[in-house]
Amino acid sequence: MSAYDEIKEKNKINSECFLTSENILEKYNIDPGASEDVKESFGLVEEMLLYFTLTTLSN
Amino acid sequence: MENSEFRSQLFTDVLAGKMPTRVPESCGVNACAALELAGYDLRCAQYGYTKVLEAAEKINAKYDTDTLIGTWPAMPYVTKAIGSRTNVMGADGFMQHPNVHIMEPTEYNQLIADPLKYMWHEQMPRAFTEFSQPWPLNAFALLKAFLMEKELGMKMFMANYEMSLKYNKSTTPVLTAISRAPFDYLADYFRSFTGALTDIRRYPEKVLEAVDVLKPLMVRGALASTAGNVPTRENNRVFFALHMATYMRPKDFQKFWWPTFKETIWDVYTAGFGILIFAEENWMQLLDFFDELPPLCHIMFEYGDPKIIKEKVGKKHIIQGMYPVDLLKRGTKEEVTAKAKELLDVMAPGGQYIFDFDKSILRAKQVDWDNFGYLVDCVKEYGKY
Repeated sequence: MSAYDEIKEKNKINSECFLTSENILEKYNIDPGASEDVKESFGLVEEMLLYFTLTTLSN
Repeated sequence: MENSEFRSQLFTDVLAGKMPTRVPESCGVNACAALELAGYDLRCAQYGYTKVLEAAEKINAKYDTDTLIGTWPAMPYVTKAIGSRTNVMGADGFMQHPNVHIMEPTEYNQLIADPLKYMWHEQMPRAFTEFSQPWPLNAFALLKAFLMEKELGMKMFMANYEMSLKYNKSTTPVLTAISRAPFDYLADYFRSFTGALTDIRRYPEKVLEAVDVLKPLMVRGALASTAGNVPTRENNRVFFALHMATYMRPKDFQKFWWPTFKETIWDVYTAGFGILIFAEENWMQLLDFFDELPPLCHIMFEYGDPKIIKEKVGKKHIIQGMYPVDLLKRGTKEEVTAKAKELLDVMAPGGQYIFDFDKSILRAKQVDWDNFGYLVDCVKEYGKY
């Protein structure tokens, strides 16, 4: 695991307003085999929405 | 003539802790100053990008600065789209941050239980009036703001990059993302300046719990800036503008402000990012704390004794700032350049220094622009190693 991923894990966010990969599969009823793939779509926009929330919407 | 590559290398060297060919300068000039110099009305011109870029083009063609100046407006189109109460345009067109409190002290438990949920459900509809509209108007407001920031931001980014090459400015990234000290975030976006200072006396345990739960958000916000890609310290630098620290009693600072800020910085640094800090106001009583941060943090100082700051902070970190910008209004050419040389004599030895003002030039009438030109030329000549 990279230092980046370790810090991400250390600062894990548990919120109904921020979905982890596991939450995404469950919420959208997606095959569990897509765990890695959803990081490239849903995972990406969760990160973008988080950044937007903490920058533009925190101004 | 120095080209863009040469000037980029100056910043790359300083940020990596290497000795550059000369001291780079990064004299801050706000887009509003450039717009006013170009004869535009701030109440109108900031709502698009054409006039902003035209004004930036004029000012960058005229002054031989190391970095692009007078660009990146405050994006009032975004704040209008969401109905911001925290970021509003003043009567003269300059953007202001009123001291509004969004969260009541009785709501600490909600914030602590799930900060993001509290923000989306409670804080944001109060801070941004368009989000309290019924579906689908609230969703449209969010979408408009997101798209305007993304689309106009990309246009500005590309135009700025081309302008940097055209006018021989540095393209080394100094700031690529923004995060905040957890206590500052609590004060500025939830409880207000005065509310947060009152809370540390009335509800100290709640404040400590709140900054503890906000800290992971501050870290994850910084990490999210790369959209999942692993950062490099050279190309991904996170900016922290420090706000409340110098307004607190030292013992309150040590208890409520510093611990979660230090943890945030170390986590962001360990994840692979560079660190840029603006130490607002006077940090002279708190300088030793910077020694607890990771090496080569790039710290912009506003006020203080340059000699002591160089001695206490400049060996471990990179220092920027402290030239009194008001001298450009009241000083002669000789006084302006003499002050620059005096500052360079103290700060330049050993490297790890970027020349800059104590405060950015926000408005055109704030300075004598001939003096600005003399200053920039002086730093380039006198700052050679």
